[in-house]
Amino acid sequence: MNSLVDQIVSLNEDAAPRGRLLDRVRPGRRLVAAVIAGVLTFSVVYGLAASLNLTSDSLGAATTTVAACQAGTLNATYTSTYSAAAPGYTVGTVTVTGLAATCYSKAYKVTLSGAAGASLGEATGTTPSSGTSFAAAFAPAVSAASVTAINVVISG
Amino acid sequence: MSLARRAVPPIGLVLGGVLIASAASLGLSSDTLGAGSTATPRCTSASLSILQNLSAGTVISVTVATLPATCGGGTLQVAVNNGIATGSGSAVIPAGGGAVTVTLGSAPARRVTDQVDLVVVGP
Repeated sequence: MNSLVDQIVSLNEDAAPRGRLLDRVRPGRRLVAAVIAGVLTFSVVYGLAASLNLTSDSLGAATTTVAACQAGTLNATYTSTYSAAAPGYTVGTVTVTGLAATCYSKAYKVTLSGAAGASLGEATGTTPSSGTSFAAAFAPAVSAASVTAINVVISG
Repeated sequence: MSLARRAVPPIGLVLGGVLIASAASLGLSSDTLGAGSTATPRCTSASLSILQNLSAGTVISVTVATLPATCGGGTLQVAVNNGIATGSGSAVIPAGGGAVTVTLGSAPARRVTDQVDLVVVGP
């Protein structure tokens, strides 16, 4: 029993004065402790980084304006011809006037439609490189009595 | 720390941001595209009066009456088909409408059943 009490007394006598905890740790042990702390810290960080596997498809985005080739109004006129086979008057040609130079040499499509917007016939072609009009020919010709609307698109 | 050293990280962040934005953008251009639709109007929806004018058993002309002023300036085309032959012609409708007689280019024979078709183009 006395030996235990002696050891405690001895430890108290050898101890450094009260101060910071690290001051009471020998330098060699401080280095070891620092190394261990670093390993633990970076292990956690490394573990977090390794837990995310990430790939990505390509992604690109852009926006641009789709503009019409002219702002001026186009006007459609009809050429009707009697067809004994129909029988009745049919529209074989639609002439579009008011074409501006900015719409030259571009693809066009003219559609004549009837009840409920159903297409009765379609004519395609390329606008001329000069002048202010172009003629869209329908083959076969479309029944004039059935035409209720005309639709034109110019692109290019 | 010198001013130059302190400025390096922000500059790096800005450059990095620009590079990322550039990588995500695509070059894009567009052809022109214009489309339009409009109704094809009728100058009238009222009934018209049609009279075939005969001469020696043939239809030589057709008179279309009760044409409204809204059809004025339009071109009236008329065709008579008796099942064997067809005669057709056209005339301009007066500005005030009214009656228009269209002379047929060839006079088809008058038969028990024939068909008269007409169309107004314009105005």
